[in-house]
Amino acid sequence: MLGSPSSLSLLTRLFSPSISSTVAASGRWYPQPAYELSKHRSRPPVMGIHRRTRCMVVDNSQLGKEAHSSGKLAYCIHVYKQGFRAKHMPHATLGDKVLVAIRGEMKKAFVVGANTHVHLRKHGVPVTDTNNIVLLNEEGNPLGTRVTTAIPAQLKTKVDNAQFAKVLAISNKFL
Amino acid sequence: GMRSAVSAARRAATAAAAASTISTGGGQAAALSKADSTSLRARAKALKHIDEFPEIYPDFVQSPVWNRRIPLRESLERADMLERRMQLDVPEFYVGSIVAVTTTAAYLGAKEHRFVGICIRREKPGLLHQFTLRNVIDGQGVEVMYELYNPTIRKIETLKLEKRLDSDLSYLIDAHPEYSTVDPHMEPVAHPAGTPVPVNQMKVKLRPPPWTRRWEVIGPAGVANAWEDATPWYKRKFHKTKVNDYEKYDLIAAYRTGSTLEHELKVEEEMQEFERQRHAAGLTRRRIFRSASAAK
Repeated sequence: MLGSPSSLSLLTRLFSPSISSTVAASGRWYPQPAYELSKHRSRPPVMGIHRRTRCMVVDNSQLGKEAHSSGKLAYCIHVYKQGFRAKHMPHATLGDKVLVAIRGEMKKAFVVGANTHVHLRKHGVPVTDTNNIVLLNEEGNPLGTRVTTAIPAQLKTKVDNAQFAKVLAISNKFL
Repeated sequence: GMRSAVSAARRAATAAAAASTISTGGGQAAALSKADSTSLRARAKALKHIDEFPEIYPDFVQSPVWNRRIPLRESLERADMLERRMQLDVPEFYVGSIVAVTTTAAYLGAKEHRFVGICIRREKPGLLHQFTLRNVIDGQGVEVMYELYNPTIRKIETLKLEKRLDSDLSYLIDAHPEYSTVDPHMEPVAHPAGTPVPVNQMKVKLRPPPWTRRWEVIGPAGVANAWEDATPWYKRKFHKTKVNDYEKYDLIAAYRTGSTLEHELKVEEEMQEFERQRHAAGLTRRRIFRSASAAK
């Protein structure tokens, strides 16, 4: 019975290496490349700019300089964006407006550099090592007079936004 | 060195596995595997096989996920990739080489955009292949991921052809900025044809922790004394898990994720046939199948 061709092919299929390395229901196998790991399991809690994410102020405003020299960085407390689900705040990406807490004050700011997770990167979009913001005053104009670092050139697409156009106007270098 | 030894062992394991599936008799299997390997070697010689094929063309390597190795899909993807490589000159570059990418996009109008940096990562097989460049601009670390087969890429140049000790330089984000700083206006350094690609033996000094990953546990070859730099808290927590030395002897893992000589020869044959057809049509003189170390 064991020698019959059908049972032999069944046996070889059962013990062939290709079967043992197919994707299991757990979504984990060995050896698994890093980019194959599902973002839905065993992930660090937050990817992207969310509540309590530290941000670097990259304009020349006095408030930003003080925050930087005191070592108490600004941190995001709200993202002004419509999320996919009610009561679930979305993550801020490049060009989004956020509310930050800085030196005991609340200031609105634009994200001009995002440290994006490796899985979420887009073709040709520069990713900076830090999350960079430009502070805004109550009227929505930039607090400083100059952006001190290079910002991604993709942000030029937001020139139609009247508030963001002012940020583009004070930035002189693009990545 | 180690890498070539492992690849040789891998080839042997592959040949043995192929032979054992073909026949059941011991002597017969040995004879078959010998005949098989000699014919493979003859084919490799006829095709002028490049030994570093999986490193030069990581996009032509089969998927490490075995149930995605669908022959039809792979051949269709390869046809598209060859077509694109006839349009765009994709030079040879490795992780650790300095590369310049020129792109164009709608928001730039007719203008082109150029980014220069060290290639720190090359991942994913087939049309989805992507590579990441890193540079420090005005003291700010910047990484840009490019999809190799994205039509917005106008030009790829290798400014300096070299390898590093690792095939993944993700640790540069935790290193001092001078290790990933490249002059954006740098002149290309010519690689003498026919000489092996140099391996830069540089050991990178990391900034003090916290790091993005546990480099003291992962232990990349290109990082200088990560274990000494780790803080006592992490050492106490993780010193038991540092036993990953066996991984380089894991032939099964190498077989599952690596490429086989049989597949490489198949792809090389396709490439050469494609080139021959295009050259015969008289439309182009561009060559896809080439390597800097094997060039005359």
